[in-house]
Amino acid sequence: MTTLDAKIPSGPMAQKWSNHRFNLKLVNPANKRKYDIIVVGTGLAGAGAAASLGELGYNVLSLCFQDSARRAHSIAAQGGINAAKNYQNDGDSVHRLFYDTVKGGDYRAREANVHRLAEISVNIIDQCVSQGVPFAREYGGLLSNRSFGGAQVSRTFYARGQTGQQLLLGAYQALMRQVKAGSVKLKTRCEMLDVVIIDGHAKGIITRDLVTGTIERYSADAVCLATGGYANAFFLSTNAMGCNVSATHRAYKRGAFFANPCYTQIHPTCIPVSGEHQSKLTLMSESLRNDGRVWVPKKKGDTRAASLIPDAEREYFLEERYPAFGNLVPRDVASRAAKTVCDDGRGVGPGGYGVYLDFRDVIKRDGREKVAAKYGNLFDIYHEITAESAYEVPMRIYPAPHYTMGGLWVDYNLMSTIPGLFVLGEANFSDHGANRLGASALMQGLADGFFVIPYTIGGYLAEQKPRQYDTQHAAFDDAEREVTAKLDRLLAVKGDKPVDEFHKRLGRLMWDHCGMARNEAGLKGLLQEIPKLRDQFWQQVNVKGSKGSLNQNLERAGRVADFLEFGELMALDALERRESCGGHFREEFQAEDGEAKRDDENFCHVSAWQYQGDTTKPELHKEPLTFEEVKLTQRSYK
Amino acid sequence: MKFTLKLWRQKGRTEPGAFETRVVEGVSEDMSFLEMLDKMNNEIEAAKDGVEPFAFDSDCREGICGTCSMVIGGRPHGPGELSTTCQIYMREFKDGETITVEPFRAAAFPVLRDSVVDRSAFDRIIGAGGYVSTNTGGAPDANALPISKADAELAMDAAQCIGCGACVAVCKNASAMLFTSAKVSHLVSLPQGKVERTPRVLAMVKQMDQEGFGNCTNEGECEAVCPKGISISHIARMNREYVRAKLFGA
Amino acid sequence: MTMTSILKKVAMALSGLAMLGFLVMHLAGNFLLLKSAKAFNDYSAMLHSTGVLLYVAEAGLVLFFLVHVVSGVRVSRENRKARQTQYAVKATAGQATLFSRTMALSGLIILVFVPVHIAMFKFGNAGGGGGLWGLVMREFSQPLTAAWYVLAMLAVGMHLSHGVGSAFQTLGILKPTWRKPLRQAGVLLGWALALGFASIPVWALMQAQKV
Repeated sequence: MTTLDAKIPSGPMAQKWSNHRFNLKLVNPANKRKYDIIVVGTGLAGAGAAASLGELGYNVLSLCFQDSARRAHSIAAQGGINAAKNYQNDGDSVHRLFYDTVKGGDYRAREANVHRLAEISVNIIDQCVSQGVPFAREYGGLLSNRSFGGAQVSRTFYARGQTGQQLLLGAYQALMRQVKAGSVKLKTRCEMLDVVIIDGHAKGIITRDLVTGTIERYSADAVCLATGGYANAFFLSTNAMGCNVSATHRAYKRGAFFANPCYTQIHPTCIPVSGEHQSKLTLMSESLRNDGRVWVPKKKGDTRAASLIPDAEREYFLEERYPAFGNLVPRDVASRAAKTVCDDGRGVGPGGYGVYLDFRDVIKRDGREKVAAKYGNLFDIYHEITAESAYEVPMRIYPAPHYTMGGLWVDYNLMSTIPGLFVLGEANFSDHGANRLGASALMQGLADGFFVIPYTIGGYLAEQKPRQYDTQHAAFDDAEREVTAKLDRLLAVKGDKPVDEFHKRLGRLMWDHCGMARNEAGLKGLLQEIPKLRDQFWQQVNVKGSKGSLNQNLERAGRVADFLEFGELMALDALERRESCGGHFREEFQAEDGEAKRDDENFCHVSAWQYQGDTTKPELHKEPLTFEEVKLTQRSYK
Repeated sequence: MKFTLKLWRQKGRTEPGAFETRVVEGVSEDMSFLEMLDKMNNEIEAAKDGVEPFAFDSDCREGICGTCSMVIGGRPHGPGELSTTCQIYMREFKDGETITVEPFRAAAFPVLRDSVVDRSAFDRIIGAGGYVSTNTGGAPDANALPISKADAELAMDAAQCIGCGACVAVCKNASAMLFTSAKVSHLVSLPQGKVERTPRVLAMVKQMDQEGFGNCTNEGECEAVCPKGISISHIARMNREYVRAKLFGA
Repeated sequence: MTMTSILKKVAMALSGLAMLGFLVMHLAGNFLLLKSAKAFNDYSAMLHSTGVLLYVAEAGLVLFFLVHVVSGVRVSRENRKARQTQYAVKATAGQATLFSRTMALSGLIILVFVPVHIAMFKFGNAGGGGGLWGLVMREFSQPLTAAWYVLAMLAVGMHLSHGVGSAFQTLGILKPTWRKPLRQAGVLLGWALALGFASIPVWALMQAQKV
């Protein structure tokens, strides 16, 4: 077993990052333009990285599958971004943000990375404001903050309900500025289909132009993947339709270790599924839990209208089980509680998978107008989708896959186990442990892109001779041949089933057995079912059209084919992690009161999986997690 | 529910297009318009014939990414105020209705396939000057420069633009003034953006013209279909900014 | 000369507003027709007595007219080029009006009308008794001429009902809250001018019928 070297700098926690920056080798300014860097993805991490690296003088190629860099899925984040500014004088500090993040992640994150994230958080806000991001402000002209996701300090910066959009547009504009300046070349509607490895280093990628279908080769001195998460393995999630695992999965198949694939976050407040036709789930901001009360009928199969059920026959299950935090318990806790009552047959709405989020009492207390001022926008969205008014009847909500904490394993420099292959943002596993706190995803994406990779990539490049290889190298031939063969294979099946059918079936399997709650039997069954489904896919799918033109059918088929492989890795990791932690809840490992029970003795490590071929079980490597600053305790929100 | 769809079909940028009629049955009123198209495409995919699925752009399906782009029944993003195509539900249509689906039409938005168009002209307009020239690092403390709440709100009103292009699609002149002015107005509302106000507005308008968009004739159709309700007051503001830049700009 | 889209529109707005000012004065003068032949002819003589000033004013008007027409033609040519394939289903989103959609048509009618009008009254034969007043009354006693004038004035009303508000928008009116009132004032002023002008041939024709 190889030992994973996380390259965590020595020294006291608070000095690690500044020491490390000093110790990193630098690339001479005049030499930077001789280095080519590819950045795949243009979300917060990708656009931030491409723009910053371009500003430094590197020669950058930035790619996205969307039709514009501005449409990456970071845009959909609603709530806000955390930063330890302590503008509210309520006792926040870098150390407190660090501590909260480690604890929130259920002690499965790397301390040094989290501390760096907390340190950088303050620079991010400064940077974004200087880019013209219109954060909410107080009358005096200073920035406004709110408390978010159960945090006990107000450290969340926001721009109405569209914080992700505004931050992404800031990064996108910085990126377009570099495109105009010529330091970044941007290619949209272009999907990465493979990483090219030469002498063990990532030296290029193979892409498909989604308009013309042309397979293209790009060589570089380093490749950065900022390609997001894999929540669409569940088919129904809050992720955009195009979000996929292909880039990271194919890097995994080229030798990059995949870490903690079983850590997925299920967001408690989404609009429930309304039928088979549903293509995605819509998130309702978590802020609704500040005033809404969550309940289900006490009686099983109670089909009365909500208003006809008297208080005595309602169970306000979060308030009853968690008197201290009530409806504001962390995401994983709230989600599981909802699942428990629904599995008990007390769920509401069509299909029985929903719980009420009731605003009756707050409307009575504050009046409809005040409630409308706070949540009107969200009530409108709810009405648009369900045709129900949350002023009149309680909202129905249910948890939905939202974010994935797992990702490609990276060291402190954000480099994967393949030298020269860096992984940023949601695509890596680094900072959130087993559960991500609200308003921390935006923070991590921007931290990686703007403030970490510009330093750490220099340390790698300084030791590389620039432009050692070009796209004529045999490794490019091989990779392109494999990519083309796979596309041909998809087109050649010519079955009679649509791609979506397999994606939906996979999603259902994953949700049932590797979703909010997992158990050994379910996961073992899943490991049997996925390969069967994969075989059926390769026998029955029908992919129409050709590979030489704009073909969305083929794009989707390729992504689903990867999910059909990757789902197995998620299940395997969930099976091997015989403990409950954060978003990973194993039914066998729970306290008497139903809370997650960690096993710090045996599982206080990062699980990193190494691909061993399609038919061989991947090899598990463990990176032990050591905690110098934070004491491990059982999370309790009672 | 059952619908007859008249879909614009075009294989590629330079190929001729035509309408194709398809009937979709078994539609639920809780389906979104795009889910109805998904259903139709699934049926097309399952059929062993040469018909290819209908190509359309869509990503977040919650009205924020700006990817979806269709003209439904003569209106960009279809019926309904303040919504994108993905936020339209079948309950807004009458059972049995015939619905025409066309791509956004503008010389600056060439059709790539069926309803998929190329909107990269918008990216080039932003690239021409829709940013604050600030490199990463070295930014002063975020609270060093107070900004009045009114200015911040005004900036946010404009900054909400999702770049979908419905304003261009609905405009009888295919003008991109609403899109361009939203960025000009967002940035000039803030002290950080005021520094470059002159070169920005000149460069962005120049780029907008070069892309082949039409002129604004002040009808206000754009603000009526804008999913984010961006007002044409921002166009007036850009006009003012432009004249100011020409007359007094350095 | 190449001009950016905004400058062309500013040129149209400024020349349009200048001509609007002229129309207000022109209508005020025209109403003297209703008062008496003498009042009208005296007013005409007074204008001619300003000598070189009149030429300057006339030259200015011609210039505004040409600027307006030339930019208008260029703008609509570019606009047509900006969308080469039309929609199969045409609908408005609710803010366009019949008149905003027909600016080119109403403009074209006015473009034809103006030279005819100038030829008729500026260079027409005012020697047939009653001076300029007499010329006007004689011309408008022809029902066809009067009808053509009324039609042209309808075109003016249509053009102004969109054009005035549009000009303020192009010039970047200061506060968003002024937009609506200015637009409504534009519609009102436009139609008041059009009806005011149209009332002259109608009145003249009625006078002729009485005799």
